[in-house]
Amino acid sequence: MSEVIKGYTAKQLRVSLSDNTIKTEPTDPKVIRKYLGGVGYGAYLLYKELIPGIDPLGEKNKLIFATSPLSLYKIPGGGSITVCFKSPATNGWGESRCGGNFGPDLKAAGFDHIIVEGKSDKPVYLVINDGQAELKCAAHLVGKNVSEKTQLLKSSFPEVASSAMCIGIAGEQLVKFASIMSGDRAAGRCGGGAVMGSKNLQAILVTGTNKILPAEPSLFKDNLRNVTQVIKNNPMSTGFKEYGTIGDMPSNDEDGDWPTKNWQSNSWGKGIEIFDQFQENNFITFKRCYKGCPVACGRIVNVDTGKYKTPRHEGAEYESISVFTAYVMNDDPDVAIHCDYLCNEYGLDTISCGAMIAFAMECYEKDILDQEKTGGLELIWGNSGLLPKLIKMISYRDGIGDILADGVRIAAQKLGSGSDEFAIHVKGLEGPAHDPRSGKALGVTYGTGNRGMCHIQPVEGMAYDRGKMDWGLQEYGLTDPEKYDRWDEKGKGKEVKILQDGMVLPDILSTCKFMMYAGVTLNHWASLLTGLTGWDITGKELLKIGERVVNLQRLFNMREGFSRKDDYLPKRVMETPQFGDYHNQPDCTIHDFDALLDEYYNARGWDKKSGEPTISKIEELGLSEDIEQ
Amino acid sequence: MIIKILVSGILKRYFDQTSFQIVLNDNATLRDLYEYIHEHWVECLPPSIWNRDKKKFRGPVIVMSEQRVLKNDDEKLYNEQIINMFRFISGG
Repeated sequence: MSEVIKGYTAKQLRVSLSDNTIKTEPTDPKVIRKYLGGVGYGAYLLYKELIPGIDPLGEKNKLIFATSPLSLYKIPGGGSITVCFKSPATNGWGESRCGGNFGPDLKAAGFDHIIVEGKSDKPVYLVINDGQAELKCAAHLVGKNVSEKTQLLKSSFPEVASSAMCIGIAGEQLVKFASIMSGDRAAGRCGGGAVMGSKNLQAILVTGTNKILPAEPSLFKDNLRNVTQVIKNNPMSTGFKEYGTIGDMPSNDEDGDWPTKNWQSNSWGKGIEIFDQFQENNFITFKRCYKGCPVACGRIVNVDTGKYKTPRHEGAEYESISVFTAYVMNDDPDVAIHCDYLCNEYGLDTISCGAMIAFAMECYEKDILDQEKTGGLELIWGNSGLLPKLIKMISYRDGIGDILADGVRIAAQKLGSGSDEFAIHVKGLEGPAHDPRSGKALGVTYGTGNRGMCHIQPVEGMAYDRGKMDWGLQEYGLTDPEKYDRWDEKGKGKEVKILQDGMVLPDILSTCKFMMYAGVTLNHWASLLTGLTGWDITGKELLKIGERVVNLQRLFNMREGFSRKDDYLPKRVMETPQFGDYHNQPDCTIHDFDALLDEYYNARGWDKKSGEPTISKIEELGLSEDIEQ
Repeated sequence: MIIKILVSGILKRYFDQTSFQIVLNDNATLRDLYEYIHEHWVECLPPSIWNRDKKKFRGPVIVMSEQRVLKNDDEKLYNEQIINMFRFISGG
């Protein structure tokens, strides 16, 4: 490989835990050009290197930590790392993105990607320091909370800045929705923490001095200045900094975009009250998740006094607070913040955790669970005192926690008695705090998202329908969202195809999607890439790469046995809410999901019956050489 | 003085327009702007958006001018100032 890749370190680290070997490998310029990095390169590697049907918690699974040329501190949104793996939650495509310093620091350590394979026979952690890597004994980390582990890890390098990602107790216990934590930030969803725990890998610590020099410094500098100005001038960046993602709570509740009581309704009526209390009592200041983030959506919060006293930490994201309020009918933000903090400390995905507790409460309501099975706990709606206890039980797989720790699909199978009817998931991934009864595009994205029922992978359908955002994609054929009513169904399948192809780019480029909410477009990303790599790349080509990656992830899932049947939403999510402001609003329900899927598959060029990409689509996207046929 | 108001996002549905001008007295402050909004639009703004007792926006509404958030009710406005108002909605 004589071609030099600019803008990358051009190296990846392959760590084989089974035989304790570590290799530095060059990255293939052709592959890099085709998939760029992040979840794109992750999809290419995992499709190539994983055998279908493997146990996600077995030795043969792999964890890919992936950056891209844009994972740099100076790039808006560049403080980012994506992790790709076969998900123990879905048995399909798994990916998580985490904001913070880890991505840029991995590049400073000398690598674009880390590939972790095999399993260590004893707990270890990986240290990467300026191009050198070693596995060290991690016995002293086992059983500790995330903050303790992080402190211990970073004390290895007291003189220099370093970044750590680690699992918590939930990852050690192989909880299927365990996350990988980087400080208070999480690579949540899909169970990456369990995969890491199954490998006996406690943590990764990176530090280094490597610098990436742009291929065209002057062009890069001009383009960067332009992109930074776009963000600065956009009121969304002000909004994020002022209110954080929790700022969505009042309007989501009002608009029927707030799943309530395990999705029995899509609004509660307490959104503004909880938000006001939070602002008054818990919010301290904004936080940038990495050095120099221009958006600063993070919140520093605490609970000052009382039963749920919680130290200052970064938290209180919209999703995390919603699942510990509306989902479980708790209206005390102190409790929700405390629960969010506990999830961070135990290394648990907040969304799946809250969803599991809501599911358990409904099981209790319907006498599928009783006090005998719950060990005396009364899983009554709104019983907020229970929540911290249950989070601990799930993390340690203690009592009823052991059933809940495997996710809602398996829990419903084990409990039976019709509980699968209110096990809200797609492909095994529990639903987050946005409701397609607020806007139908979200229904399509929930059904067809490759990692399962996710509001943001790769696109937030409700932001198109309600927020009327287009992220600059009208240039590529997206219809102006103002032309649709949020409850229209016809046309949404077609729009979601373009939305997904465009909005997967921040995940491929391992940057933060919020930059696109603040005005950054595919053309802007392309301009930064051109300056860094010297490639002549356009927004149009980026969109094609996006389509390629979405299709490759789909093919990964197909190979694991997924098909059209796995793209359907739970019935409850498409039905009239059982109470609340939209109880008598039949327009909000999804009337013909089959038609939505048909339209989506047609736009994608996929087989209508199976949902599989056709041969012609595979060839069009240049995927033939990368997959078996 | 004349103040130009730009309304975007979800707030559009309550004001039923995206831009309009209002006339305030020469020494008007942000508080006076809120009084004006209360007088003319209180019936159109739901309690989740507008605090009727305090006569100001409630919750995550951004009021800004020249890329700066206006927070101090005593801040003096100036003639032909452009003020953007929107209710924050993002994602995440």
